[in-house]
Amino acid sequence: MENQRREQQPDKITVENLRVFYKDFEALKGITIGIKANRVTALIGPSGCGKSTFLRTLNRMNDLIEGVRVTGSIKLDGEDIYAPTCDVVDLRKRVGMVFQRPNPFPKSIFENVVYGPRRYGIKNRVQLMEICERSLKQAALWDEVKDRLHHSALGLSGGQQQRLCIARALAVQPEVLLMDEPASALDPISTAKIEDLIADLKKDYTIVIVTHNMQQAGRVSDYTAFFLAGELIEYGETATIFERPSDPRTEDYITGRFG
Amino acid sequence: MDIRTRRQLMDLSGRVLAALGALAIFGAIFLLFGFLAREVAPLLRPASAEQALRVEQDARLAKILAESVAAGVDEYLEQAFLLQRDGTFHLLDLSMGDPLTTVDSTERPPLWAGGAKASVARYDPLAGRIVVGMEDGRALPVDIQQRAAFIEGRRTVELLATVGDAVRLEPHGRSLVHIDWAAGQNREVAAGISEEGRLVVLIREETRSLFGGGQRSEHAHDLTPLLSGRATALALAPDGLTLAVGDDGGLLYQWDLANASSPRLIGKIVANGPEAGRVAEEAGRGSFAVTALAYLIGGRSLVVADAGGGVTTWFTVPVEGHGQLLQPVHRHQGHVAAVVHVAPSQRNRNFATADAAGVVKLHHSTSEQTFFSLETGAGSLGGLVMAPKNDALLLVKEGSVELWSVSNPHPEVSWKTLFGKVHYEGYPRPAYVWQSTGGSNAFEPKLSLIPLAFGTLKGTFYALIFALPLGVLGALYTSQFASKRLQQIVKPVVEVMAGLPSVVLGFLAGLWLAPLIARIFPAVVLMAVSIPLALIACAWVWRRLPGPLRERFPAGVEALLLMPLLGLVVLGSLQLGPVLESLAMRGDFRFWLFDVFGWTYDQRNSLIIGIAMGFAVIPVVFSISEDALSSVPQELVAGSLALGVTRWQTVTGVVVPTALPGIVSSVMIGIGRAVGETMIVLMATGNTPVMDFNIFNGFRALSANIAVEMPEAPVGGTLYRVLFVAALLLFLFTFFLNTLGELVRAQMRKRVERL
Repeated sequence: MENQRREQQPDKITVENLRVFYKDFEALKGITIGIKANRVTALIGPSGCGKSTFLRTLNRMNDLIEGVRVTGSIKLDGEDIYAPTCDVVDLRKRVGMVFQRPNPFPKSIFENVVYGPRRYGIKNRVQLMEICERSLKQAALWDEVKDRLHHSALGLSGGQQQRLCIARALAVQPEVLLMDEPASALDPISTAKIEDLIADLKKDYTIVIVTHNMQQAGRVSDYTAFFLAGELIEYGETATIFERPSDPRTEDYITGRFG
Repeated sequence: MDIRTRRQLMDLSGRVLAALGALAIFGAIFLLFGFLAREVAPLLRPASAEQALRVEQDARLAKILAESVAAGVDEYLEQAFLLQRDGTFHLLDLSMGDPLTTVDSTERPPLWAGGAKASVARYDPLAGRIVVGMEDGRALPVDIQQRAAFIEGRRTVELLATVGDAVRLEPHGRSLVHIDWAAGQNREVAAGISEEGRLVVLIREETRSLFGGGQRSEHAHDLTPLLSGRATALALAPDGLTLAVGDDGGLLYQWDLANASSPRLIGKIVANGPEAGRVAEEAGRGSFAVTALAYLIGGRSLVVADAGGGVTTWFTVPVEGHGQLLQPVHRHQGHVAAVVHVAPSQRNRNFATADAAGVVKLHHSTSEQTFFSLETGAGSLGGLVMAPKNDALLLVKEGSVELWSVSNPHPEVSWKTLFGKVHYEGYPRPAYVWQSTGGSNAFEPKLSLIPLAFGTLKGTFYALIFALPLGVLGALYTSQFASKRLQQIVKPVVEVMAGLPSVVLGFLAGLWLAPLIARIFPAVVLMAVSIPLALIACAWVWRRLPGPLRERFPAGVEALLLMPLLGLVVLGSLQLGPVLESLAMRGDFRFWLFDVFGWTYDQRNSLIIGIAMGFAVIPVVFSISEDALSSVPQELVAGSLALGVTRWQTVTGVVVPTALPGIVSSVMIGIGRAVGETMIVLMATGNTPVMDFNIFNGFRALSANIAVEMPEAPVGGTLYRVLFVAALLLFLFTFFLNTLGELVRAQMRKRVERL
């Protein structure tokens, strides 16, 4: 029953034959994958397999690195995000990102959360306050920081900082949320909080998460994609991948024989 | 030795070396500061005086002193002389330090024969002359010279006296009680007050004709009818052109003697009291009789002392409706009793005053300081003389002669003369002026540091106007927008710029840029408008270009595309400059600037400094700003961009605020560089210490001033120490700015490290 409902989910992002080159090095070798809307997709694989590169192609953060070349197509709701007509700034509004290490701006908590909306031109303080409260609540941080919204964000703990970064990403109301090992720099309690949060968020957002942690992938994701040396080895429902991987390399990785 | 102890040893020695280095730097800074302070300190030391010698012998000395009409002392304080009423000199040997060795030169014949008695004498050490007034109304000038000589192998001081022609000053043969004598160009003037209160002047003029034949004429005048009261004091200006007279009603009379046949009374001025300085016709009279008048060195400042103990310095100042009138300019600490003697210095604007109660005070006219007040014992002094080197005061008392040694090396300097407005001789009103040296001793040094500090700030301001936008925005562009390759070109080039010796910049600015800009000034004005306009127009056009065309140029190349266009704008401005000058500036921009704005145009002006010193400051500002901007963590930039924020918004929203302390510190250090910069301001300004903020005028900076005046300043002299004050000021200023910049930077580092 549950499986059937999942099958019906449409693809939010369709990737076809995606190749990424860093100068002469081919980091991704023809990836084709469809990412389901309102689901959590985990990208796993050993270090250097290209999963982070893949994640960053989805909101074109790779553009910032000099010498990167991308071929193939990535469509968000059917629109090619690498087309010349596509505005990168608009794309990133729709596809938010949370980084591996918490990176709050050296500003107050409030200013961090409303950073995006403010720059889209929202000046009304009441409106900004609403956005701030809503985002912090979504990121399960509101109760912890509501009394010190105007204190420096740098005074928060690592886990709180990461949830603040998630709140900051949510404040601009993206459709897709990319998470690059969001809990790898955190302690187990903070990690658990982030994982709970991810489970809550998938109601409203399509989430793609890179993780090194197999248990985490198993706990939070609906779909899992296994990358190895720039290739997508296997992609499917998380339960299937973890229980009955079709490729022996997947099984080797999941059971911890390498990586 | 095992590896562990060796490592520990290395570690220890490294730490000790580093600590020593740090301490050495601190030490050097404090030593420098200490040295500067040590050179400045003597300026603040108060002047002092102490009794060095007292000659007090017997009844015979008392009698000699009672008969003395004038006294003097030589340059090396070896010999004092006393002129007697009968025309003989008595010499006192001061060098032995033994008060009993009074030399009585009986072999020297009296200065005049016939037994005539002197009733008054006035010694003018500057002119080397004693003028003697006789009981029969004659005036006799005697040239006096004291010089070292070797007589029989022994060094002694010789007193040479040459008696001039006597003139009959008082026509009725009455005794003179006050007298003065001046020898100006082609004229000799004698003025006196007789015992009856008659004021008489005698002017002897020699007019030379073209063919060498001289013609002498003598004019005697009795000025008594013009007086409102009884004349009590008088003084002739050294050039013999002005006579100042004081009366018992507290009035000061200013006579112009330029026309020998008819002296002109220029004004009767109230000498003291609440109305001092106003003309008698409007304000009545003063509170106290004028008791002593004396001109200071230079012959412009007149010391006026009165029976109420007041001491003021006067010189002519333009007064509405009255022309050049003597006015009280400097007020000095007064006496309690009536002032009886004024003794001017032969070197500077010091003068000593003595009152009827025997109190002696030492003043300085320009700085208005009174250095000390000596209680020399009860009773009025018979004479007061300042030694030629200002290092002693000779006091002639009733029964003794005293020599007080004086230490007062820097009388011209006070807080007020360094940092305040001072009314100098010949100036209509108080002003901030720097003019440290003049042609002669008679020059009044003007040591205000304000015009120099103003010059430094002006230069810094114009340099920053040029350097700050270029430096900071250049750093912003290079670190945030330029391609890697462009960055790799720009940064080393700017570093080369930093290495450019400032003397080269100054040389180029002063000898090439200044004449060039003076030649193409209208074109420069055009460029100031056309370049920004062209840039904005380009940016606008660039935004309108279709995307694909823009994408053809890799990021960072836009800047290079601008270059030929800017070249075209510059060329166009150069072509249009002369046209602008002939059409809008009436053919000559200098006249036009003066006509329209009232501005003068110096070839070496602040605009040149702005550009040249800007060149020196840009690398400092650029490098530090660039470092600060580049060290903003990439994660923050990525975090901002990932929120769908544009590149520019990211720069203004995250990068600049995070790097702001670094940028501020770059500005501080840039200001420090501009403040301390010497060669450029020395070579490319006119070094005129004027206080005028106009960009087309020059200035003189503190640093350049030190360089300019160094050869003029003898070690240990006042100018030498004042230059050290300027150095200390500069040092404190740059030290303060650099420290502030460094503190801000440290704060920034802390903030970035916390991320």
